[in-house]
Amino acid sequence: MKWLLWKDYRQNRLVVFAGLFFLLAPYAIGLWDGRAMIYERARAPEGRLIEIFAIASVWSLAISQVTFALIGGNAIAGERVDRSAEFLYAMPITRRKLLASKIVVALAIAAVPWLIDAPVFWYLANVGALARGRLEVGEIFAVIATTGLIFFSVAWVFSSFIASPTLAVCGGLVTPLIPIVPEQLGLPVPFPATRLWYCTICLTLALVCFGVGTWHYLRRVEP
Amino acid sequence: MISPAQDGPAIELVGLSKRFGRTMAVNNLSLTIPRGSTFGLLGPNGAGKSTTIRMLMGMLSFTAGQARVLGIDVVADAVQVKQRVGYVPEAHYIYRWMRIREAIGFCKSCFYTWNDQMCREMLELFGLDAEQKVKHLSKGMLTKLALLLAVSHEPEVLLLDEPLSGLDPVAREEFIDGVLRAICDRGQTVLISSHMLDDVRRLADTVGILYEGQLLLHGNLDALLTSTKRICATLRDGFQPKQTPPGTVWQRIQGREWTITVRDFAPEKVQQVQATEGVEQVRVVDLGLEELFKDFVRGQRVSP
Repeated sequence: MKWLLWKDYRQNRLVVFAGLFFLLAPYAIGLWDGRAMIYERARAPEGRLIEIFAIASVWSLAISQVTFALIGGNAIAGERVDRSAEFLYAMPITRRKLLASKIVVALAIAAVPWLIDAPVFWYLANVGALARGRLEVGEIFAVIATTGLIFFSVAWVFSSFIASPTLAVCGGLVTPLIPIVPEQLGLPVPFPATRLWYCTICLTLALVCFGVGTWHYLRRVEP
Repeated sequence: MISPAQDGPAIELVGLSKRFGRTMAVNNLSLTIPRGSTFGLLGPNGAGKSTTIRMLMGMLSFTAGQARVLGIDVVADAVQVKQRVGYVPEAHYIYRWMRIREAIGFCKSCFYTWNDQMCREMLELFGLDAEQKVKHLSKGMLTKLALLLAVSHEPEVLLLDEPLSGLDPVAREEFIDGVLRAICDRGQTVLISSHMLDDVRRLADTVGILYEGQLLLHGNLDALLTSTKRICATLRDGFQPKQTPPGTVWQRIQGREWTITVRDFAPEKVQQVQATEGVEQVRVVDLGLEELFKDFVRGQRVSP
């Protein structure tokens, strides 16, 4: 299992680099934006610096969810497109073990922004002038988390059926827009465009997609 | 149902079929390969050799039929089959970013058994550098690595799908004499599909010819070469023979030369040709594996 985990990490190394970029870029922009205030604290409006980093942390968390789509899309289709799946499936490893390894690595990569950004945002959002209600912070986290889940699950189901990681990732990234687009275009929508509705739809769809993708992956004989 | 048996055949196929869309890649293939034998699977491109081998490895679903390797149903327990089988595919897709040492470590972690000493010896024999990355290997070196990975866990059955195609003559010789010969002598079962009939001739004790997914011929190689002969007859000008002897596999008339390849050869067949109107002279020629293979395939191509 150790070698399998290592293989899956190594197979996703580029995704990890992309994830690090998504994680750090908003902080870098925040640092650049607040550099004068860091040097001359007296000139900074009260709480401005905190706000900059709170925004950076929430942006970092939000765009880091793209990494989830990259992992999901690359998980199965990535090995199919370069045909390394042919080599892997000639090995005496059960599909369940292969699946477990892919999921463990995906969770480990996805956990990093949550372990860094979420505590930073939680702390900054609850101090000084920025203080926000716990409910609002919780809702922001819920929207980001369900968006990440649907990114992953839709990319995963595509990845399970097709041999193109690019299409799988695009599928994952586009799907969360589906509940938003009709409302943005002023079309009649069958549900109120609230965060709760968005989260419910995304979560349901994510569970269905993950289930179907996993079922197909476990059943399929061919690499 | 095929009955499971510990001392049964190494490979047993019953009515195995695989359809890709409208194409029947393997059609009702039934074949038994005893343990310890070396079986040469021959056939032109697209005959279904690789498809059959992939089905045996549990890497391709069947349309119909059953397949057992070492008594294990490949559909029910593909992992157990892979544990006991070494497989060298026609094209090698080992992770390109791995170093040879990492590819060996990865494979070693997957199998219950691994012969480190044999692995080291083969690394040396093939001149492979353990620190080299797979993506930097030439086709021949990649083939050598695939062969090394397939045999180092000491499989009971070795499935080789065109394994020697990327090797230079020296490496091929070394592999056949140094590795395959040892495997065959140790009593492991080897199924080798190859276009290199000379290599098959040197290794195989049994052969099968696959054509358009069907097994044309299957049997002991020496017996086949003994029982299949070519009868060459000289015809009188303008004569066209109307009948061929029974068991004719293929025939050709070129000018005054009438060539007939017959299976289950018997002197009576020569007499029958001799007795044909317009035949002047008759001689019998022994066939090599290559001619035998070509004649069987040509015979199928011309027959309706």
